[in-house]
Parts: sequence; structure tokens; C-alpha cells
Amino acid sequence: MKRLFVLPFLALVLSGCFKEFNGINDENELFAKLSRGNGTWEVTKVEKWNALDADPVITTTTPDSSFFYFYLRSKIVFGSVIDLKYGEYYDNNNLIEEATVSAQKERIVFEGNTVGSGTVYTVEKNGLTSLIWLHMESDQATRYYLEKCNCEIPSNPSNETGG
Amino acid sequence: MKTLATVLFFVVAGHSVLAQNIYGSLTYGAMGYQCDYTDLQTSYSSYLESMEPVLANNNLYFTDVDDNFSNLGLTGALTFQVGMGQNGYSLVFTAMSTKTAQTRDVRWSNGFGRSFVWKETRRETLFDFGFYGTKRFDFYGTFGVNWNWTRMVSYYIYPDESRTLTHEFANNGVYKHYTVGLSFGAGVRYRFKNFVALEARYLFSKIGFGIINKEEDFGLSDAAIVKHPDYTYFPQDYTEPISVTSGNELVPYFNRQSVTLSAIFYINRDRISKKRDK
Repeated sequence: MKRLFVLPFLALVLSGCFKEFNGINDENELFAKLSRGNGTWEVTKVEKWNALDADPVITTTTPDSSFFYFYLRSKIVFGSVIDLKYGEYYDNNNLIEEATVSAQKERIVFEGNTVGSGTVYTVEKNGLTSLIWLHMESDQATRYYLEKCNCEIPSNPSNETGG
Repeated sequence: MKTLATVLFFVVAGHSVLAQNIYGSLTYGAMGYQCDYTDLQTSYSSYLESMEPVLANNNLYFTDVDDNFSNLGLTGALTFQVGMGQNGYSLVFTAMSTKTAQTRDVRWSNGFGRSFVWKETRRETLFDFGFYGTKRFDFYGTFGVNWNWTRMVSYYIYPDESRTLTHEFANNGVYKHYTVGLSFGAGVRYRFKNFVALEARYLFSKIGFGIINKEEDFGLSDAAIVKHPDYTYFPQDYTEPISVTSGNELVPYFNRQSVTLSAIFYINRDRISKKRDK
């Protein structure tokens, strides 16, 4: 009887030990975490400054309704259904950015349509329920403070008229 | 899954044959290692060499340069062991995981710079075959497979100390490569009191075997769409042409020697039954 308890316990311990064997070098190792729950991360604070200044003046804002949303989107390609990893950025409930994403521990990429294009966020903090991302555009730095949330995703207007 | 099945086999077998000693532990030990990072060091040196004329052309110079990557280090080792001993012999399955990281920064006179962060996650799955040398000591030889996830993160540093991976700089990137190899070594367990033994293990982890070798393998790469294809691979030599077809890529075949100290728990069924009989 004792063995019946020992074996599942060991299985649990082992599955924990080897969990990281899966996807350590995956291009999207962070996506599972980002898309957990309903996949939304609220932007709680935004800092902006000029990165050329050694001692920059930082402008801080607290957005009202701004969040990132990560999810799997299924598409039919040559007759097969494939799942694409998607990311969206909403500011004031308006969709600002939408793209396939590559999410790694150090870098989140909202991919562009051509080679060399896209938006890169450098991951500065990778906490369990909080993240800090840095985006650099020319010399202008923007730091996003994100918290895991259950934000409501704006619904798409329906094409159905009901008539 | 295979690993899990193997381990469970040993547990069940250990119980069913009523092995004299049953080993099992999940411990965090200390590891000292020496790793052959020659290629990594050459790459770093070549970066400095390649930047000298670039800086000179812009009336700039190095203000702060970190020493090269170190071959020596200390780290923690998460170790799981399970096995059995019978009639003077022992067979133990060991899974060991270590993580190491080294950062090297280079700064120049206008406040900009570059940061190289080298990270490794190494896993060893080993079989320890041993015998009871004395009442308190077990000696064993060990062999198995090593699995290594390596990555180089190359950041651009701004004057305000921001470190960024923006694609505006071609050398920025998260370059990764996965390698496997064979490991072998030896160790000793000192059963200093009932149920607890101290273990010292020497291990030589060689990367690659047979057709998996440095000459045939690819190097550290970053396949993100934001990167220019010519900069897909992390350069072995920054002073040489860099392109996706040049073969100038760092292949992380870094052999490692290590000594790990950890604790292991065991049950001596003979001793327990003798105590019961008394």
C-alpha cells in the first residue's frame, strides 16, 4: 500500500525536476507564461526619457486602460490548421499593435511582415506576475511596467445585421 | 518520459528485490568546475580588436573593458538520485542540473558600450555503478549523457545604462544552441551516519560524440525575424567577414570538468531489520 503512495510522489518530484527540459531554447519559451489565464497584462506605469543623457529626466504616466494580450490564433494554411502565437497592445481600449510574437526570457518581438522589421521589447524583469519591458526607438527609451490582470478584451463589432 | 520510466523501474525493482540499501534524494550541492571556453574567449578578444579602429575613426576609445570570460567557476547543482545496493554492489541513477552565467561589459568614451551575457543550463543523466569498499565508503564509476542549453545575449548599452536588444544594432541578439555529449567520472560516498551519506563526484563532460561533432554542427544562432540574416550567427571572430554562409560562427563545444559535493539519503534495510529483531 505504501508503494502506491511512493510512486506517484516520485513521479511528481521527477516531473518537476525535468519540467525545464521542455523548450529551454524554444523561440517562444515565455509565451506560455504570457498567455496564461486570459493572456492579459495591464500596463500600470510608463516611463519615457532620452537614453543619450547619462542622467535623464524621466516622464512617468499611469495609463487608464492599457494592456497587452497574448493568445493563440488558428489559421488555415494550405488546408492545414496551424496555431500562431499572437500579441496585441491596447491603449484606452484601442488596438495599437497586433502581430505574431516571439517571446523569450530576454526579448519580446512583435514581428513585422518583412525581414528586419518589427518591434523589440527588452525584458528587464521577468517576475511571476509582473514584468518590466524596455522599448528603444532611436534614442527614446520607453519602459513598461506590466502586471498580470484579467483585463476585458474589447469585442469586435459584429458584421451580422440580424436582418 | 524515458527517464521517468527508468527511475520508476529502479524504485520498483529496489522494493521488489528487497535491496540491502535503497538510495534516493533530491539535494542541492556545490559544484566547482573548469570549462574550456577558449573559443568564447577568442570571440570576445576579437570583438575588442574589431572595435579599436571603429572607435579610433570616431575619435573614441575604450574607457572600461571587463576581463575575458573565466574558465573556472562555482555553482549550485540540483541533484536527484535513486537506486539500490545489494550484495556489495550498488546501481544509482543520477540526474544533475546546473546553471551558470557570466557577464562581460565593454564601454567606450561617449558612454555607449556592449554587454555580453553568457548563460548555460547543463543537465547530466548518469548511471553510477559501485561497490561497498568498506563499512562506510561506497566507490563508484559513473557514465551518462550531458544535455546543454547555451545562450549568448548581446546587449547594446546606452549612456543612461539602459541595456537594449533593439534590432537597430546588428550585433544585438539572443543567440542559442543546444548540444549533447557523453560524461564519465568517478565518485565516493561516505555513509557517515544512518540514512545520510556525503558524496563527492568528479565528472568529465565531453560535448559531442560520433557524428555529432564541432566540425559538423552549427553555431549559436538567433533566427528572429527582426535580425538581418547575415547576423543570424554569433561570430567566432569579429575581425573576419560575418555572413550567414561564412562559417564564422561560435560553436559552443565547451568540455567541462567538475567536482560536486552533495548529500544523499539512503535506507539500509539490513540495519533496520536488525534493530527490529532486537
